[in-house]
Amino acid sequence: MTSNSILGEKIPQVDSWLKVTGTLRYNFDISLPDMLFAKLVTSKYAHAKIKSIDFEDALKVPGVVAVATGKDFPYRLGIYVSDRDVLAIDKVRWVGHPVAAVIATDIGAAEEAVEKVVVDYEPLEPVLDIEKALENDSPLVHEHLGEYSSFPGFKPIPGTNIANEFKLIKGNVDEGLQQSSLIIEDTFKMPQISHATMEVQNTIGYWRPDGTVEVWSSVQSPYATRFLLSKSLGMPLNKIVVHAPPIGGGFGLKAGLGWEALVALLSRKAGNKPVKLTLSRAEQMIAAPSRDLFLAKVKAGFSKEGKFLAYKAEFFMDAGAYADYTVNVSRTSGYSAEGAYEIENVNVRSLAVYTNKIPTTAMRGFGHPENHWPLEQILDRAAHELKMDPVSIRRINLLKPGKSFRATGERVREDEGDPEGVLKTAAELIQIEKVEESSAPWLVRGKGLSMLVKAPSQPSNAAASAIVKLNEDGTIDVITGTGSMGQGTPTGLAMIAAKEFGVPLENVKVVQTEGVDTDRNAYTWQTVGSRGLFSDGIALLRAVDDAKDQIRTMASVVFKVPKDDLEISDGYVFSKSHPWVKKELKEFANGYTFDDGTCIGGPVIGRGSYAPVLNTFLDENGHGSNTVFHTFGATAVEAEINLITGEIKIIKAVQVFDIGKIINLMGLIAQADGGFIMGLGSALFEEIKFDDSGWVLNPNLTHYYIPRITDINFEIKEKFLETPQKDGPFGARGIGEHVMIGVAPAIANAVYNATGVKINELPMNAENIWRQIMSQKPELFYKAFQNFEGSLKEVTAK
Amino acid sequence: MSFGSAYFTLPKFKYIKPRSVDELLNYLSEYGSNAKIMSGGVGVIAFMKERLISPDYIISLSDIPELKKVKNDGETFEIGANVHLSELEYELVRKTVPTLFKAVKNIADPTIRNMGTLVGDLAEAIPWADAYPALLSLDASLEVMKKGSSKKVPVNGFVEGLGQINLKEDEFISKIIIPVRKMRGTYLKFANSSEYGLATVALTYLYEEERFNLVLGSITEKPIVINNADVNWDFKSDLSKNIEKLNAYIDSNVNPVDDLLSSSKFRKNIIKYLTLRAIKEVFSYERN
Repeated sequence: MTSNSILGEKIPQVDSWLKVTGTLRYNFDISLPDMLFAKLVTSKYAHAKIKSIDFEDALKVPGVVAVATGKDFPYRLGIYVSDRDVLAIDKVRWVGHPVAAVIATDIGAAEEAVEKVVVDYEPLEPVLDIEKALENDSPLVHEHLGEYSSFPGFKPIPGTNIANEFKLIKGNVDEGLQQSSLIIEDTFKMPQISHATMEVQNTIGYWRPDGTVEVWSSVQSPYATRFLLSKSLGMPLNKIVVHAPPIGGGFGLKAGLGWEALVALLSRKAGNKPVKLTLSRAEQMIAAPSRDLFLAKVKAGFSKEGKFLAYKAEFFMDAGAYADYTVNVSRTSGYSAEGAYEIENVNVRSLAVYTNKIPTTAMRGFGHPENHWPLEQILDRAAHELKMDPVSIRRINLLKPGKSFRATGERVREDEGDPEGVLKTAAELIQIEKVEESSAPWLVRGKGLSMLVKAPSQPSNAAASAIVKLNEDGTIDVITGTGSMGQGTPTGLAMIAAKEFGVPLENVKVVQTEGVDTDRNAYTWQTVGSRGLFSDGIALLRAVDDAKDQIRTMASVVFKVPKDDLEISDGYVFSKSHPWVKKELKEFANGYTFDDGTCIGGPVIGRGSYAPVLNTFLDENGHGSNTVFHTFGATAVEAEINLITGEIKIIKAVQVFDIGKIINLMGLIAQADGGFIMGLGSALFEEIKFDDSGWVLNPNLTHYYIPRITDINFEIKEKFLETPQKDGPFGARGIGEHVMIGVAPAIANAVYNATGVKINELPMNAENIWRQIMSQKPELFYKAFQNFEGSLKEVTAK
Repeated sequence: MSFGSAYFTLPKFKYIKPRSVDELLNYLSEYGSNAKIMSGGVGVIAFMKERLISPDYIISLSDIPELKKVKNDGETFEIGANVHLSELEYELVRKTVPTLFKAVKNIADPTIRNMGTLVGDLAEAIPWADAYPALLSLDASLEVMKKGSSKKVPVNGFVEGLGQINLKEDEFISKIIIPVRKMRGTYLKFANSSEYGLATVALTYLYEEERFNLVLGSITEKPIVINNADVNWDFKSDLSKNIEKLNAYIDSNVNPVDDLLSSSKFRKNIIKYLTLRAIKEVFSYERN
């Protein structure tokens, strides 16, 4: 029964062949008859009034069909706070803000016409700094914040630049700090970064003559996109279809609503012809959202034994011009600020703040790369001060499954995982105690470790569903709503179905591998938050049970045995008590037909639904129970630091996660490695740079550097623990985001442990590390340079 | 510096594909003011997409066999205008002109080196590019042709600033000529959050002639050439004394720029580090 043991094997992704042969059809490849092309006119100012827009000359360019401006589309968009416009109305809020769109029969004409649109601006004082944005006399990015609608639990503060304020309170933090014998206080920062998906955003909108809307788009979560389109346009859900072909990387950029409302409206404006908008890389990095800039002011108190007594933190997220999704990223970074630890007194205030910069949205990790950046460094600094080691200080403070409660008041489930085992495994694999010799006297080696934990940040009712169909030849179709973006969920679901029916993997087709659409796929809330395999997996198992029940009902009649004596495996239904009484599943696919031609039953279609159990909203103190699972992990690195240049070279990396149950080992390893590499990019290289007037200086992949294969010249060791969670599919938990959360703090800790230099800001590129060495420990630099010069004396000119 | 493009299309142009150098020179004399020469298009197409240039004519080199030649007759090493960078990545080049070989290895990535040319990298005149510093250190010359004439000019002085080269509209560089001598050399590049180096060092040491050219690139608009005479390098004396003199020279004469890639201070630190690394590498070889 090889198929029964498929779980835990290394299985290539089900769409591998299509991808490597270039035959998987992305949205980029889709072209509709009579399709028109759109091009954006974007703002040259960070903050300005639009006095007039003259597009008469643009309309004269041959091929141009129409030009639209903000006034044409008086709708508001947004998932948690509807702060976005379709095109700028009355004023622009960042350099890159779409002001107008040209629609033409070919992209060349649209590009030519865009240059002929003349926008007359009256510049306003821009707000480019998050701390200035919070001052009382700061200009406002949104004057009418009070008029925007928002999702329950989110509170934009009218008359300010605050898009949301969240508080988490446990115990009395000031008393906790008073009782502490060690206090660590510091400010930490992370820059805005790009998702840098290989596929840029591209969308086709078709407002059909019958008044229904169809969109094809590079989106992660077609059902959420449909819902938000419906809400924004005031149109019934069943008049909208969202097609989501496989996407070339999402990482949160393509969650929620992207350009779909704009292209649908452009299609209407252009006389009900389909319109396609494709961003260039530069437009993607200027006109579209990025990840927030993060500023944390934290104060942490410890007892002399290393017990974490108090954590007082203020988090500020620079949300840019539109906080849309970032209000929830900010809230999430607040309620999960304690990470993997039980802290007696917690007071966290987390603000999402508007500025006149690129809007921001969800990104892999959703607030956790942010809140782990200060937290995991504080622990190493405290350990150093208290003469403890980084592992012991973590061990005594870890959350204890079955005993601890989070600061939100939520129980830590007995079966939530083994944080102590994760910590121990990572420490052993990196050999945290062992001091390594550097390869030259101007280089030093250090090791650093970061724990991490994350749950999906989702509404309390984030549901999922699945449909399973048995085909006439015994093959199986699985239909769920999770998008396919390289994360591996379709393969995991196929393996689950194959195991449950005992059929070979190639007999299972997961329909969404080649795209999801809202008319034909089962509902799932979103493809985000590492929730896919967990939520859709549970729904799928229920759908399988339903399909099996239908088969057993028919087989009970056919075999003349009680239904509860029947079992399904290896592609057969059989009697447990009389195992030779059996038939292949395919005989029941469309009902069972007897030898005389009569039949019973009908096509087997299993359905399964899932919704989170006992999840609540969080109250005004941040209290409630709002998660379905937490995955614990640890990332550790050994790094070599060049004290002359500030370069950090990774020697070895370790990724350990308690994922409950391994479904596809190959996918899991790929996530662990890929996530480390993505985390490495944001740790060492990535930063969207702005000039003083808000222009992006590096909207390209030359000067916005993401890791190349030549940067990955070290070993990554992966280890997975399997503490099953009772309500997970086979005990499994999610993993997709966790893999990059611990990378930056682990590297910063390695630098600190090797040099004593504290790194508060990302990216840790050579110049930034060099600056920190020069300002904190210049003697290290001078000594290193001396050693380096000394090495030259061995050389004689011959 | 490249800021990225919002465009998918290229500005309209006519594409000309001459079959001989003479034909090419005729076109240049006719259309030179509105023409750009293209081999792999790595630079030209990118610049056109960014609307930095919009020539009426693109003249392709791809059908002119004689521009495809690499020649080494023991006297000179010559590289034709249409020789792709990847065609320079072999042992003979490493042995003959090691500084150039190592510079080429540092240009972009293998796929781009399959398309781009050395002449193209030089003619783009980007201060962060790699060909110019390496060619300066090698005392290279250029063969510049126009209708009815041809001349050999030193590479030094060819690049006048960002995007500015010393070449008339009807002229083109047919080849790069490097004198073949006994030499050791290296090329080092330091990049930080960018594809381009924030500092580069080309060092060519002609050990029989007892002289060297040290070229510091990417730190100022034009590379800085320092030779042994500039620093009173004494080949008979201790390396450490010579290095002292070199460091002092760099301290007082080299003033790197501040830009997106790096601060001036960091550049100065890195250029000194790279220089010492280059000296260590080049002067520690056993002479054959």
